[in-house]
Amino acid sequence: MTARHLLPALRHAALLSAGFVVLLPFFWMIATSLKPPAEIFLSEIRWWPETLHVRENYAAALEKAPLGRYLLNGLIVTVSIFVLQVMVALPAAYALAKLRFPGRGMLFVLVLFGILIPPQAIAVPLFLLFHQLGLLDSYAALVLPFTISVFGIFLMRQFFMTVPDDLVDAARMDGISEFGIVWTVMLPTAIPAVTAFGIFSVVSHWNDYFWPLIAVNSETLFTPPLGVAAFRNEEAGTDYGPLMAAATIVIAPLVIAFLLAQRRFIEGIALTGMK
Amino acid sequence: MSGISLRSIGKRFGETPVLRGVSLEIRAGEFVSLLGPSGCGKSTLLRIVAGLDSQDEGEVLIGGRDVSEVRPSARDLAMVFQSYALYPHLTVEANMMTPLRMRDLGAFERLPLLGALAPGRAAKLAAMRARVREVAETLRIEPLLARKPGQLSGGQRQRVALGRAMVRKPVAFLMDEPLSNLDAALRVHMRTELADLHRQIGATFLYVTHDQVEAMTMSSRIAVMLEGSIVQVGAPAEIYDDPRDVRVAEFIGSPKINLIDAVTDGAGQPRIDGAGRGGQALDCAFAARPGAALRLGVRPEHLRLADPALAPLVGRLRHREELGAETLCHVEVQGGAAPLVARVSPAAARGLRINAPVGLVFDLSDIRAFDAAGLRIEAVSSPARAAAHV
Repeated sequence: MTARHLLPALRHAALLSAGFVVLLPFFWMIATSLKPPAEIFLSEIRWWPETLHVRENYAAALEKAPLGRYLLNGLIVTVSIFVLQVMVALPAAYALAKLRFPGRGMLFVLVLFGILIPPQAIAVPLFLLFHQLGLLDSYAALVLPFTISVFGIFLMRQFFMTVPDDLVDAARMDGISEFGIVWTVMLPTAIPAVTAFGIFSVVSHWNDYFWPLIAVNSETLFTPPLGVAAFRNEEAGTDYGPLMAAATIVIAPLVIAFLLAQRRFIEGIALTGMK
Repeated sequence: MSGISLRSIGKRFGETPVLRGVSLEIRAGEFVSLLGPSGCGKSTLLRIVAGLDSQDEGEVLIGGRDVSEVRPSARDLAMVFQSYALYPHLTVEANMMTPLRMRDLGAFERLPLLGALAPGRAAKLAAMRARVREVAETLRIEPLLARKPGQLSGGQRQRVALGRAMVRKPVAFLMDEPLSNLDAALRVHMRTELADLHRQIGATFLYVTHDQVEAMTMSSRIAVMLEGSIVQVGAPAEIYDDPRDVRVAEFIGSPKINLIDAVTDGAGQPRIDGAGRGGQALDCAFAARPGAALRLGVRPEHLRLADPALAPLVGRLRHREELGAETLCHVEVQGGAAPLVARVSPAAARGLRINAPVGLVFDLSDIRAFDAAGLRIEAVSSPARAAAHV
């Protein structure tokens, strides 16, 4: 084999092993969710169960905890967060990209600084604030802290910079107001970027364990990750089959949504030049 | 349809002045081109007229009314952009409807779904659709109405952009280099169409371009802009034949006007330094002090080849461009900075070899003289139609 063939082969080997590392836990989760308890605790590695225990595990998962409720909560929270984020980020990004006003550069720098602050760093003051407002343990507590996404503003601003100024001017000549331009001109042209941002947003808030753990107590408000964790703590401490079944159910909507939006997602990422 | 008056418009970006007291009267129904190189401020001026930028000083009057405080859409102007700026997510029909929807429908009527409940909306929409069809017919784009801009060619997009501007019957059309994204053949074709359209609808056109051919072929008048000021306004022929500034003379005309350095003698007669037969004075006089440096402009088509022994300008043929109907001879004259270009008939240039000595003659009445600052100097006397033979 010549160097010309060797290099791509190595590259693929590296990518395959990286893919294997990423996919292994998912595969193990699914495999475990199909196994009877006896096979889960074997000392040898068994990739695929000899006897399928699908119905038992999944029925147990759905029975022992209100998984449906958790999924619905997850849906309510992620969709509300995303909608509010778009309502804030688009006008803000439009102003930063297309309007000329004093202090615009400074504001954009502040947005960039905002990206540098991890949510964990402000969790305690945020918790105290919500306590003062009496909003803890409610949907509002789960949603409000994330409605202003600096990342979203940044992403959309970068995209809007690529929209020609002439289009905005044409809309002004046609008599469309500035807010009208955001929603009827910029939003339709920015669909790929909004989709990409939507996936970032939905994935990170669907999977968020940290903030819901702090913000809510009532089981009726649990988001899917909290639900799965509660599941383990209570009864099924050693019952890994139903636990993995619950985890699979929780992750499935995300995987399906990603597969459906995959093409748009990659378009959006390519458009904004971020990898 | 209204006229537009610009009164000493000034604009600066930071410290840099972009427009320096620009005044211009555009009469109703006129086709006026703002012509100038890129960066001369012509687009900024157009945007100020449109209301997309605001001037730092001066005022804009449309139909006699000061519109300095009026929003762009309320000025009732339509603009065609270089990039066409069609809404990419809307069909051609919806694109052309947009200005009408914004003008004729109230905020409630424009709402999706709910708007359908408004009384009289259907009738308004029907009227708007009829108007769009009518314009589409004029521009011959009816078959495209259901398509989106992405599925159109450059020329078709250009027409749609024109259509979107026309539906509202604005008082004036503002055009910002609308043809410069088209290929050469289409540009020539669209020039004719635009001029036709102007005659047909008779509206006021303010047209920004850096392309002198566009300006010359379509305009009733041209305003030449250089470095933020309008240097000369006039009909195309007037700008070409009678430039008031050497920069105008140089900017208009292709190939460029030939500029020959000369010095006036005691009688105001120019003497071409170092060239021809010992620098004899030409038999014409200009209103300049004795000893003043002059630049004599002669258009390439006004130079003729002649016997070197008799010509006021003598040089060697450096290069020859055969253009079919005519031949451009580049002649290097002793002491001259750049080669002079003569536009002659192919027959006259036939048989001339590169580096052959060539004489150039011109009619004295074809000389346009400029002083050291570039301003035009009038001729005091020149014999009518006399060639500058020595």
